[in-house]
Amino acid sequence: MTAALETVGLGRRYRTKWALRDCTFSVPEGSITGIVGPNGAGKSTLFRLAAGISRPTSGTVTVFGQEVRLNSSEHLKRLGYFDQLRPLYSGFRVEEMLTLGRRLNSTWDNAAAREWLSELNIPMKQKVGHLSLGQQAQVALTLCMAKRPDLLLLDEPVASLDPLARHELLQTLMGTVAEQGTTVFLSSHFVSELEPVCDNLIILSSSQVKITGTIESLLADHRLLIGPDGPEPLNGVEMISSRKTGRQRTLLVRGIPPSLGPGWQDLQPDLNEIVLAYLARRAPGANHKLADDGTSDGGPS
Amino acid sequence: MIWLAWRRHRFLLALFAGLLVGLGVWMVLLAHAFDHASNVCRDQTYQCGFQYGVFSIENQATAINALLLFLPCLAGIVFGAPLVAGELEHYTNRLVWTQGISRTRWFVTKWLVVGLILGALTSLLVLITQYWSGHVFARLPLTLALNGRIQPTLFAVTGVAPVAYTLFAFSLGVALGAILRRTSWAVVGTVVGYTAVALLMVFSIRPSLASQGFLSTTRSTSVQYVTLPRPQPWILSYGFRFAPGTQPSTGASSASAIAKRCLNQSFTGSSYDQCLSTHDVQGGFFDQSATHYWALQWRETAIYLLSALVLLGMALWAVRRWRE
Repeated sequence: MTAALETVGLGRRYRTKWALRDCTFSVPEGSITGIVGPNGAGKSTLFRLAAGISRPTSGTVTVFGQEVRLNSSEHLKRLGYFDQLRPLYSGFRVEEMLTLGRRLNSTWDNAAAREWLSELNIPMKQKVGHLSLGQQAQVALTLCMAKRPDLLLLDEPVASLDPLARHELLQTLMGTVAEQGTTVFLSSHFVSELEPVCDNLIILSSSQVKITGTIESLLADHRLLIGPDGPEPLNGVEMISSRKTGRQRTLLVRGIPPSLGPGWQDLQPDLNEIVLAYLARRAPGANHKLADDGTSDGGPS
Repeated sequence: MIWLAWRRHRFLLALFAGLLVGLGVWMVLLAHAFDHASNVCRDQTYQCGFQYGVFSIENQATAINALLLFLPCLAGIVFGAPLVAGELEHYTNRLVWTQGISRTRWFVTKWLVVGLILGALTSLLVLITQYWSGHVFARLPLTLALNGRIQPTLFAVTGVAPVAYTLFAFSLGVALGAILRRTSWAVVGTVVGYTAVALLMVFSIRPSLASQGFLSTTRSTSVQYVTLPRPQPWILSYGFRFAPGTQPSTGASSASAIAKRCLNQSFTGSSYDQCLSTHDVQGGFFDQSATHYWALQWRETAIYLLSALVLLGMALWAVRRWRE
């Protein structure tokens, strides 16, 4: 299977701080891949690099086998990019935003765009600046989807939306994507938003990729071990996190332990527990705190 | 992309056009008022001038002239500075640069659409200005200075140069905005930069863009005077030269050095004049003849347009290499 999006050793440094470092992964064509990580993990930097509005300090990013460059418009034809800040011209009417999309893209499905927006009760004559945040997100998403891209890059598409708007937006998205076999790469702070819609998950923390895989394999590969405080049963498994609560110790490990000591329980963790374990885990030798690494998600501009 | 460039900037362009229309109407009204006053006051007495408000017309004309001088800079501030920087500040560059067209096309189209409209508006205003200055400045009976289009204040608002000034100021604002990435800094830079270039042009470059003339003074009793040709030339400076067709008699010394020596030797007028004439040195005014008007206009236009192209190149370079 070819990769819709592939990064090799991708890094981006802002002055002395690495916002993203040595990032290697691939998003298979036709998949829905989510990336989760805390604020400042480098998610938005990664999206901007993939969209070609930023340039890597090191490594490469390719879209359908084609290297993304700052001034090429080639990769843009196959790409729909949803920026975290959802920039729109606030003085434009909704229909003028559609005209913008129609004029600047070689492929454009205006009828579908109008239909989506009317289903969402977004008035075409309204000024974009007078719409609610959720409606603005819908307009931005419509702009991405109406160009019928092969790859959708959605950076925090549902952030700052209320639960109903979140649901509506994801539903619009997934409905179209399923019809057309579009590859989707989307990010979120919360794994609970990604789990129902994604096939693959990438965990990004402290500017680095912690683990990637399908959601099934992530669930199958990890175990939650609970037992008495004392020596840890770590034969044949990789410890991801270890937490002490009272006289009990809770471990999250990768791999299936062959045998457990007396008093130990072997449980199936849920995806959220796995993600939290990876986010809490510090890189070996890393001496910085999780909270103050790198730049904010808004990114230096 | 042409649609987007027009849609983005049409409001301010319309506002700017409205401003120019207002200014144009004012100029036409003023020209008519002046025509009326000068028809009545053929004797050109001060009393008649007072009665028909010639002084007020003169003051208004000065104000209009000042506004016209500032217009290119205004275009640079309003349209140039935010053209790229405004998009970067609102992150809308992320929107347009991820549609289907390249940054180069985006930038060049924006520049062309806004630049061409500004150029056309300025050209129309210059036509009105020519009409107005022909009616007011050329015939003002009470104005001593500022006679003729060769004088710097009228030179800068007539002919073809104003269009080039506007495009230059616009490009300066665009380039500064693209490089500094802040509209406010680009505005300050445009005002400072445009003013500096305009002053440099008037004081250092334009005087030598065509060959200078020389008006030698003649002495009557204790007063030196010069007869100015009509139309009046642009007087550049007072200085000395060797009379045409003569060889400098003292080798390496310049005409002004000889004049200085003559002044040191004698303070009385007649012997000073004698000293100068024995050395074939003439005192007088260097000038640009009014007949050089179009030559100066075209050369200055070429300089400004070339500079605008260089600035356009710099802005394009900044846009192409900009990364978030």
